[in-house]
Amino acid sequence: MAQKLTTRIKRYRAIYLMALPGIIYFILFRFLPVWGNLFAFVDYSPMKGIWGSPWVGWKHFDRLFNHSDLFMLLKNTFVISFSRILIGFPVPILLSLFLNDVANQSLKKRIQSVIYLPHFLSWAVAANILLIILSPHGLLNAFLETLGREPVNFLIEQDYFLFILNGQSIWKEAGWGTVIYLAALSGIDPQLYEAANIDGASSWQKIKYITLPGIKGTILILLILRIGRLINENFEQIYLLMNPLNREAAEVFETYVFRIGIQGGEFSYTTAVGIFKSIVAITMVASSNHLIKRMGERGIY
Amino acid sequence: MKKAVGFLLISIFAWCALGAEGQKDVSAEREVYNVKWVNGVWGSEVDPNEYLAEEVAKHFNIDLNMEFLPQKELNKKYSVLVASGDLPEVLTYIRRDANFVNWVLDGVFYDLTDLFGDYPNLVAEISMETINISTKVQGRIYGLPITKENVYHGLGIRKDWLDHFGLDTPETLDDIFEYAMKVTFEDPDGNGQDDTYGFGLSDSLYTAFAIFRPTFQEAGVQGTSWKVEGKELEYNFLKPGMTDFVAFLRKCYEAGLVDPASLTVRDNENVRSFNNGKYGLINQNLETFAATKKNLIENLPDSRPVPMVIPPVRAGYPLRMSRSGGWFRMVTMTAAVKETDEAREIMGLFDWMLGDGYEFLSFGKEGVHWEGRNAAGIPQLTEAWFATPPLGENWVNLWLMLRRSSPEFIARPEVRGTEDDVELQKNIALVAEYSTLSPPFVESPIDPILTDRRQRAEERALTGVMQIIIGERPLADLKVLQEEFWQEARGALEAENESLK
Repeated sequence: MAQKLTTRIKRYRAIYLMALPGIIYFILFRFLPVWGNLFAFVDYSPMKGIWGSPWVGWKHFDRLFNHSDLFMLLKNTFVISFSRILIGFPVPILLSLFLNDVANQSLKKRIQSVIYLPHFLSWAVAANILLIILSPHGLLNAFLETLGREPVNFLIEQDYFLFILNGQSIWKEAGWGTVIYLAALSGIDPQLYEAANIDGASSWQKIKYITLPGIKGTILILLILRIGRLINENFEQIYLLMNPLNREAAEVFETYVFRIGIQGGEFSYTTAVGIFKSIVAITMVASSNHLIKRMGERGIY
Repeated sequence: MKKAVGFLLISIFAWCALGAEGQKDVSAEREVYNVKWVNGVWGSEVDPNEYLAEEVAKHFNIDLNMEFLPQKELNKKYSVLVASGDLPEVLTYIRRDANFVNWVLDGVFYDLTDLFGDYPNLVAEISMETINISTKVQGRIYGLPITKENVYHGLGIRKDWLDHFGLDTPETLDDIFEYAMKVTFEDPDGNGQDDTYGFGLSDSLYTAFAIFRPTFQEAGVQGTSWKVEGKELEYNFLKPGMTDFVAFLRKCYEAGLVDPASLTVRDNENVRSFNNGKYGLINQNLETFAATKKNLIENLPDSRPVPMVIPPVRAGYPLRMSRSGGWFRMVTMTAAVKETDEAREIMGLFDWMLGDGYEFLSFGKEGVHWEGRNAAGIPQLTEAWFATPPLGENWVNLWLMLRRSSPEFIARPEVRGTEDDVELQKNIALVAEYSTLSPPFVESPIDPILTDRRQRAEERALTGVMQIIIGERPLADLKVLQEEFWQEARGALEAENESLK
């Protein structure tokens, strides 16, 4: 077996060589830091190091599970995450279907350029653009005033937070999200559409019976990957939109870890929060993978 | 002749070689300590290393390297520094908080107890009373507290707008309200747009109310921090004066005098809006206001920003605008200092900075930043000083606070400004009633779980206050908030109180 592996490596050395930087990356930045999880079980003292710090067992987990904010953090994380799946996930699919049906190639490319552009802006720039639009002196309030309505301070209202967050995500990322779907769409056999045309299928029927089944696998795999990232919600975006008046609706694990762990210097406690977060994420990925396999589709493992 | 020249050359080479050897011996005897000193600053900072490091090297075996980090990032940066073990030799720490005490217990900071008494300038300038309540942990000294005794807090106001409206300088909160109404609704900049406001708040709960905080100090409201009254810690949020404070801000917000956009912007935006001629008021200490004033006049040459006395919350109340410990930092030496000799050298540096080096820090280098002295012996500043303060504004400003304020020293030279300004500042100082020594604010140095509970309660309470101010909750809810706060945080408050006795 060992010899076979050596032979394989020799034969496919170019491919192994190409994989090497990725493997090194994962070892350095993904596997080695796993040891850092030990922080959660000690009262980490920088001067004593991890081995010199006193072992405290589940103390930090106890603190997390008894924290009055745990429910708020879980609720916000799940609400924000699922809203992103429900609202944000379908948009690139719909956009791709729309783009796929645009016959004028020049127009299609122009639309793609415009919708890809926001992806390349940083969240800080995106937040400032949002401020220009939604602040009490912003464009939207100017428009409302022309209609005789009172200005609304959208950015401090908890009720608007979810809509603002999802709207901003869609604006920034939906265009870029079409890339994979468009690639998947291009892999569908054109003869199927020709046959459907001959049979007199409508546009909707073609989407329903050819296009969607054709990209179903891609959609499901992206969905599983998305679920895996669910709980790692975009820190920067939320942090930039969060303020004291909307914090009850905005605070998620990521921002909490940043505030308490980095700003407060409580490394052990926030490592425990991080572990808890990871366990929830793994459970969600495994469950959705299992569910998708039971639906007869291929999972990610 | 050739022999003579040869002899001369040999002699020169020999002398040079001996000289070099001699120099080598001297430097070998003097170990030079590399000292990195990390500070937090607001805004940009002039690098003081060019002058300061050179001057320090003349007096000490120290190669000083000052580093500046943004004040807002300081907590994070220090946490990372400590966690990584990559400590600088000297840290200007922000306040006594749970991190400070925990890090002391972890051995992050150097114990200064046995050294402190050997440095006469430090002993003379730094009050042991302040040390006892700020930088001592378990009876040992871990930092040199910087408390500013002469913080002349005032409101910055637009005199040109007061004149424009025919108003006198406000003396009561009602006068302030009237002025803010006119600024908001009578287009003082004459641009035909509804874009001016009385003042702004901020998106930070802890600084949102800063604009009028000094006004309410005499009512016991000083933001969210603890204050030691006698031997008890009192929490300002629970004091009755808070109602006056919240009611006034609510009234202003209801009347539209507060820029609603200020609730979602980061710190310093208020200053920017004032500098752009959009706000009628700003609350700053007078030294900081000098910079604001300069910027506003640069932007709008016809403007006339002046400092004014903050009105009392009720007529006849005394003002306590100047509080020792109102500004608090501490200079700490860290465990990166391994040898006692090095620690002594650094303590010597601190001592020099408050003694012989003090003039250098204040006025810069003779011949560059000042030339000659006036009759009182005060160095006369050159244009170079005003063009670029030699050692950086923020840092020197901070450091000079370490020295107890003398009656002569109202502000740094550049801030003294015109004679009018000096007079005004003196007047402001005169109306203030100075408490002898009130301690710096302290945060809980105890179990973080208790601190969590108290902080959480505090955040909820302050969010509620903000909601009351912007009209989302009735004013009567303040009582409810105070009760909820007490219920939620009571255990933590009592435990903190006990721990600090």
